[in-house]
Amino acid sequence: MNTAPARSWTRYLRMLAVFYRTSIQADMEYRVDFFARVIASLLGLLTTVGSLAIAYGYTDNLKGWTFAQAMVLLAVYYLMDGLIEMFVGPNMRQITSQVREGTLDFILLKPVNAQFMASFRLLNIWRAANALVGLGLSVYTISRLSVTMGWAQAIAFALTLLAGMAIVYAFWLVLVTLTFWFVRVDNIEQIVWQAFETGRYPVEIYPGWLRGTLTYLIPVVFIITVPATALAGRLSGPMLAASLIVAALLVALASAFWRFGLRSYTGASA
Amino acid sequence: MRYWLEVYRINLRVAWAMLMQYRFAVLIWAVWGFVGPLVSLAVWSAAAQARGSDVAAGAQTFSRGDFAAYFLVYMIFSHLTMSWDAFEFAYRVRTGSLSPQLLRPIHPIHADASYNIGFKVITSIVLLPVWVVLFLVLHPAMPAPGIHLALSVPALVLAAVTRYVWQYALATIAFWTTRVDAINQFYFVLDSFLAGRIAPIALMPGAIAVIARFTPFWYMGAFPVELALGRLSIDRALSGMALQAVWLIIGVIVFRLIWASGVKQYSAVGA
Amino acid sequence: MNSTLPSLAAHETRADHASAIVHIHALSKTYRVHERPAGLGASLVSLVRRTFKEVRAVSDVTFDIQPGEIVGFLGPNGAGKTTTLKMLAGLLHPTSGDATVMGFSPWRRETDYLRSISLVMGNRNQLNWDIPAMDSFLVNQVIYQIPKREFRETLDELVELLDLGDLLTKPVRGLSLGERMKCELAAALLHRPKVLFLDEPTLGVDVTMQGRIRRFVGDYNRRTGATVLLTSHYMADVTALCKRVVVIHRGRLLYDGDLEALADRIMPFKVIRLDVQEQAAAERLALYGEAVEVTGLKASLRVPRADTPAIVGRILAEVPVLDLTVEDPPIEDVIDLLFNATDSDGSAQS
Repeated sequence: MNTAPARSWTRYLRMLAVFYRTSIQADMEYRVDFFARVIASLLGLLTTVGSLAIAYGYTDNLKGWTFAQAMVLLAVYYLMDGLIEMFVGPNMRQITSQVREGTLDFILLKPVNAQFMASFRLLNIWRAANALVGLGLSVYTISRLSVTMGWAQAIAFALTLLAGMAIVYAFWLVLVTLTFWFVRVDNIEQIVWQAFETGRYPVEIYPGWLRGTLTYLIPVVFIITVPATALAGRLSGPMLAASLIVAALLVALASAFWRFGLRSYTGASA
Repeated sequence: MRYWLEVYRINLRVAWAMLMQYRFAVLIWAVWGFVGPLVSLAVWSAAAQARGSDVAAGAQTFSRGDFAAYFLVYMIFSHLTMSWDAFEFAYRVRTGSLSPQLLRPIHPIHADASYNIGFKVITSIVLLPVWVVLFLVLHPAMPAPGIHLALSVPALVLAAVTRYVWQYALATIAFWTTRVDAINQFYFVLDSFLAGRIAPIALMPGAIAVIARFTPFWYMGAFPVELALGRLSIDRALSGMALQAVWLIIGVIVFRLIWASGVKQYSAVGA
Repeated sequence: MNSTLPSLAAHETRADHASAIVHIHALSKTYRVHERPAGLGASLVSLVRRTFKEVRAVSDVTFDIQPGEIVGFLGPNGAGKTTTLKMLAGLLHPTSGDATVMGFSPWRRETDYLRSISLVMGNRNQLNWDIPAMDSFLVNQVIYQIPKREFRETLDELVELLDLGDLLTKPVRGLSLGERMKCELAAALLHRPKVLFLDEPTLGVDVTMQGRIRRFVGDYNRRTGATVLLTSHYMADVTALCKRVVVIHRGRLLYDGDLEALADRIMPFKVIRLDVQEQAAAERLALYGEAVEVTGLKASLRVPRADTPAIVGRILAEVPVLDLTVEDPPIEDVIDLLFNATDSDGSAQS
């Protein structure tokens, strides 16, 4: 190289920009998807809101949650779902299929951190549809709770959303890394969704053992409940800190596991 | 007849071998099916608890134990009647892997149906213990087994076949458009509300509860469940099965019509 | 080695060991493969008690490559070629042994190393299916930190050499297999790798395109002085590009040296092709050598290399011949014979 390599963080930012630009370009080939997505998203919303509304038809309070409050949770669930499908999902699925087809090698051949490249190579722009529906619903439901949004609240909400995404990413990365050993578990992502799915209702409605699992083992609470609480302006400082620490910890653990998996994939640990 | 038995026997063997290869993936799919009903159960238990009394609508009442029974039976029946061909089929059309199947002198639905049966057999082996554990944990209020339970078996078989045919007909839409996401989602919405997936039909707001019992969805979903739980009279059970048969026949006719013009469309595009 | 293959294992004394760009010493790779029994009962048991089988993919392989060389890497399917290439490209750790390329240990995958090599796999694609190749190239530009001017120059050169023309602006999905391979090659060469590993680069493309890719690899090697290690099932690729070949079989090195010398050693024959005037004459030809093929009035004979002139003289004198040519045996046959001989031989060894 005849020019000095750029400072590494600017270099990674430039890479991210070009990754996302090419992804969006590729998605433009499937423009019809956007409308199909919006329709599918609204229909899915109809089902969940409907089932919640029907249950609330028989009571005005589920374990301390009013209908309006539960709706905030649901809105954040949709927003999170959209964000994950937009940023995390396509990359994680790509890794699984690359392991199966042997094209992960091309990522390992590049003079770039493999985890970075594998985790940020793609962006599904049409899934923004779900995120937008979720965002719109969030704003609407929170306004019905007559909560006014301040800057601190907005920042806390954004931070907890990011932390939630990071937690899902960490879990998914661990599962994807498992496919280095067990190639035939290509629908392993369903485990993520199974846990995630439970998060659209208040965690209090579940029996004690499941509530414990969802809080501590798979911290679904941090993925949806905490951001929803932040949105409602009821999040305490320690809880915000806890959410960020848990996210950082899980991402660090997942990265370590990924490196371990990669070592095995290349036969270094054998 | 012997030909068909032989066809299904050999297809089942192939399906078995394939499923064994992907046994973990298969298990994940199977367990996935339990999550939805469990979440619904949690919502309704909470509702029953919040009221401090049974949830009642018209002549039907549901205690927490009744909800547990309903969703426990629903999850196992739903597993036995499920089909995923709509997703699979669109994939095949898109990738062109349908073409070799069309060249065979036998309709692809038979290989798929065998695979579907194989999937249910293999997963049931593992799901049954899971289900038993849930049964013990959730304390369902199960009625004593009797004529209703016996009648629910043929009703379940009819439901499974009817759902399979209707889903396959839906899948065939992929001949015209491979983006079937929205269509599937629409089907899922109808199925959720009308088949009693998110709540027993009796608890649905008035209009839906009335309409649902005239749609095929209820017959492919909650009908055998309510029958097994003794919530339907014998008369209603028998007339219900007759209606199941009607929906099945309609499904077969619709399917054949769509399929014929779909294949024509597919070959015209030259995929 | 037995008497059929004398002195094959002996390496040629090649140019100075110290000047080599690729050193491979006693490189070995053993895979642990989980044995998956058939049937429900057995497969349930195997969940608990897993049985493993060791597969030696590459075993004690040693050779060097000089800067600027194009070396053909030959062997039947499953011989260990791809495993070796993957170790050299840093994708696999060896079980034992060592290799250095340009002074780097490949499997440490240092950034500077990865920036100066490329691995092209004929059966796999790195280009994004949905976007034009040009956009994937731009991604590589950022990843490899190629300065704008250098990128433009290299690209122009590649476009000219590979005749890419307007292929770069079409989505890769719409390209033919051969066109796609050309774009794959270009994508792999944008950062001007000094060492190039090519694994079956002509797989599945038509004869014209094979020739084009072959010529391109030769041109690229001449222009940039890049070192190339090439595997191919098409012997034409190897004969056109490589003076030197390394042959492995069942993970072991069988031969390392001149391609032509290999033919002399394995098949000390010439092939005489004849057109004769009458059927009876064709049948008589078996008297002069081993008849490889006799169809109607055409025949081909295999004769010992040293005796060729004498035999040709006798045939011309004694048989009514319309046309006669003397050829070296086809390289495919040479390789085939080499592997077959080792198969019967190798089974006794292991």
